[in-house]
Amino acid sequence: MDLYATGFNAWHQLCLNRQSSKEEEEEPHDLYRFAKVLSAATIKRPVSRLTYTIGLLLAVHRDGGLLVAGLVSPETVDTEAEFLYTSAEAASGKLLAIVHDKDGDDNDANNSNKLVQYSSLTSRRAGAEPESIFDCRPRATQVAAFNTGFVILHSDGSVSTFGDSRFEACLGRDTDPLDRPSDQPGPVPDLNDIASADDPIKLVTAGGTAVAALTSNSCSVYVWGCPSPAAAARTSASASSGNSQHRRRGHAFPELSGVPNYTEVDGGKDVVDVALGDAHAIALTTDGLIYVCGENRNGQLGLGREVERVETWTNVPFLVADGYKIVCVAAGPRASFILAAKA
Amino acid sequence: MSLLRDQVLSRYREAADTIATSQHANPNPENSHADAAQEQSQLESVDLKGHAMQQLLQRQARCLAKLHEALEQGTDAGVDEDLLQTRLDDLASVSMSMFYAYRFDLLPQYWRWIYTDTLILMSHYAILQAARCGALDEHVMDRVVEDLDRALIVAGGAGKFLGKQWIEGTLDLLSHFWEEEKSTVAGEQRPHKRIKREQTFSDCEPFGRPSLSADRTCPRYEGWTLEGFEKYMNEESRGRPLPIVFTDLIKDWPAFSDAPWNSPDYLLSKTFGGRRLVPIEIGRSYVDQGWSQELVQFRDFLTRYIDPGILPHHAGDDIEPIPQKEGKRTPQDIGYLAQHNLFGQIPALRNDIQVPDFCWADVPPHPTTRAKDQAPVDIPQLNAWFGPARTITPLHTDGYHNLLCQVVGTKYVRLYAPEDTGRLRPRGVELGVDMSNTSELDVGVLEGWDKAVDSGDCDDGEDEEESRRKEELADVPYWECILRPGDTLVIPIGWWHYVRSLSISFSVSFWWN
Repeated sequence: MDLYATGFNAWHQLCLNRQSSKEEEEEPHDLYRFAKVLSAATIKRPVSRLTYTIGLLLAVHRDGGLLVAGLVSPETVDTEAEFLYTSAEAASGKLLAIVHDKDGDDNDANNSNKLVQYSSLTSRRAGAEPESIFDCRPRATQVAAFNTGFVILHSDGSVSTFGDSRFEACLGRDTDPLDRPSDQPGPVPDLNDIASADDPIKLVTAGGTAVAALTSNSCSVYVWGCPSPAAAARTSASASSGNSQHRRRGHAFPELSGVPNYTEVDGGKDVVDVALGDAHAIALTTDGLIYVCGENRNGQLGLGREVERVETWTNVPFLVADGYKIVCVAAGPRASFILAAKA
Repeated sequence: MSLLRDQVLSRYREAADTIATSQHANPNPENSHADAAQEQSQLESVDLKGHAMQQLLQRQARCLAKLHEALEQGTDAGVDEDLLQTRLDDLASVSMSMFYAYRFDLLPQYWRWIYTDTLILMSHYAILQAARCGALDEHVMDRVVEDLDRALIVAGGAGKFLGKQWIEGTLDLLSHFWEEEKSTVAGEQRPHKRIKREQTFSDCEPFGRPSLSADRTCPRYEGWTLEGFEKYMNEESRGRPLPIVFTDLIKDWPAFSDAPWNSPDYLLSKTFGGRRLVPIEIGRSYVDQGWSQELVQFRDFLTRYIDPGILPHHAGDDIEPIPQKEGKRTPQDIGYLAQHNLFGQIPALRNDIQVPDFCWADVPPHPTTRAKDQAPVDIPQLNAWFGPARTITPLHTDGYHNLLCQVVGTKYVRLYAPEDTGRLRPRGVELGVDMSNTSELDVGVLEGWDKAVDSGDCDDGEDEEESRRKEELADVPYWECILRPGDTLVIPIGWWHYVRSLSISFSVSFWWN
């Protein structure tokens, strides 16, 4: 299988195959086009954060295990990589993970499990108790994080959220300190109306101030969230200065609200996989094409250096090698990944 | 070559060196010497992202130092400047996003430091670029002042090694340099063109003024001593003072004489030619839909929101003044420099006013709800309030006693007693923010001065609801007054107040406890 990556690379975090030689490049360049960063027999979907990427190789021979690229704490490489690979991290450093019980049978029977939230990796490392523990019924099967909270996919295909009530739209639901507290998982009602037993949600993804869910049979992506505050801080103060840091820098989706909304990819194509970054999104459609939208300032869309941003889903000219097909996509806050396997 | 120019450059060079070598925060707090008294130590334990961004910041500072050296020696630094700009942009956007990710009071301090340092480096790069092609012109001044002011306003000028003091010093130096440049150019080229400007802000009250009822008008006093005031606030009122107006507390402020705040020219001269940024609230009232905040240059604020006639129109300037069809302004045309500590940001203006002695008076706690008392402040908290006619601060209370001092123009204030809080419909928690200090009631709408803001769903119940509210409020006793230049209103802690400017108005509030 081959893994391709593009985007923010200030700590070589995209270079999973990089030999740890210490030739110090003064300032690593970002990747502006998808480039092959790893080849192995079996590669799983990578997990990418602002300063590092974790790749998982399944052991066929000796090359199995977790690969870490970029900047991490020394502890991470030895002991924390698996936890980081399986958890979700909000912008404040809060981490959420699903607890997999060893005697899973009982829990399967009553279809429940637990989620643990740590206030930070440092506190977990120091042996601190989790900040909160939530019982999940139906069991949680996947978690993802946006800036100020988390989204949870349950085994029945329903979705719940929790997080900071200042950004209620990211939660996709009304909150109320007594009945529907923002800081405990609560269902996203509109989404749970859209999805059904025949067409459950199969995946949730989040980044920045946006959250998305993908349905399994209708292959549709629904997004919700807050228009990012940075985008709301509109124009540059002095019209003449052309100061780039203050130009519009919203999320990938122009009209986000607290109500999950269908996002149409190239005239309504079916989507099989989708991932959100801080301000961009990447999707794989059933015809094997890659679509992206949002910010490209660090090359996260893979559309080349000239493109700053695209407002609508745009096909990436990405040619997969002969005899290969794309199996999934992934996103870091400012990076995108494509995984291809032998057809 | 100008001496001041060299000073600017060397000041920046030192700053880059400082940033390149200084640690904002220790990635391994357990290894640092446990200084028990160091209350900051907890804050300084930095997460991976903070550590990474600090590293990235230092790398960019080194690049800038290299560029700087190359400029002085006329060599090529071999720095990828596109990448430098991208990385500075990354630093600014990542730290900015942290400001939103954390609730204000929980944000680790190092994110503010990183943001400040990033903006210092951005302004450094702008200066280097301009110095290289010999064009330290007004666009560069705009850009540099904007960067530095963003650090002051957005991050409060927080910095571990540079920060507020460095920024203030730099802005001072830059404005001297710029004065020198301008006078050189003017001296060489043409006689100084005197721009015709209005001498002072108009005192017109385009929307009229509410008529005051004699028995509800706050009494006006003069000649009080501090002792007399303390007595009034405590014994005489049994800790429940009423709002009163003093007409002679601030007479001696330079803002009324040598440093005239009613002169646009004067204000521009104190704001780097109007370049300094100020935070502006756009919209009628902070509880309305569509209300927002923006950072704008002071001169744009003057021309866009106060009076378009103040400045001559610059060619190529795309600032569109708001059409002056009075009464037809939409709420989005109202910009209000509100509740901003302008004097912390621009200390030169601080000298034009003095903290009234009465702010040092011993004053009683909140009369009904002790929980509303804020932590004691060492020195009074100053805020500026500057805007056109019909800016509105909705009915609310503060956790402090307040002296509201009127410097330019007129304001109407309506006040309700803390004892009547239950009848004033305090708001609840809205989007995670406790809004109980703000009332649901819109005094201007209930009095018929303003039209109700369309809340979207227009059913007939709204009118009924409004007239019910009107009746309810009509029974609640109130005080009111119109503040004129030189007046000071005492708003005792817990008193609900609604403030409405009648003309162009500039006030200063002092909070204390």
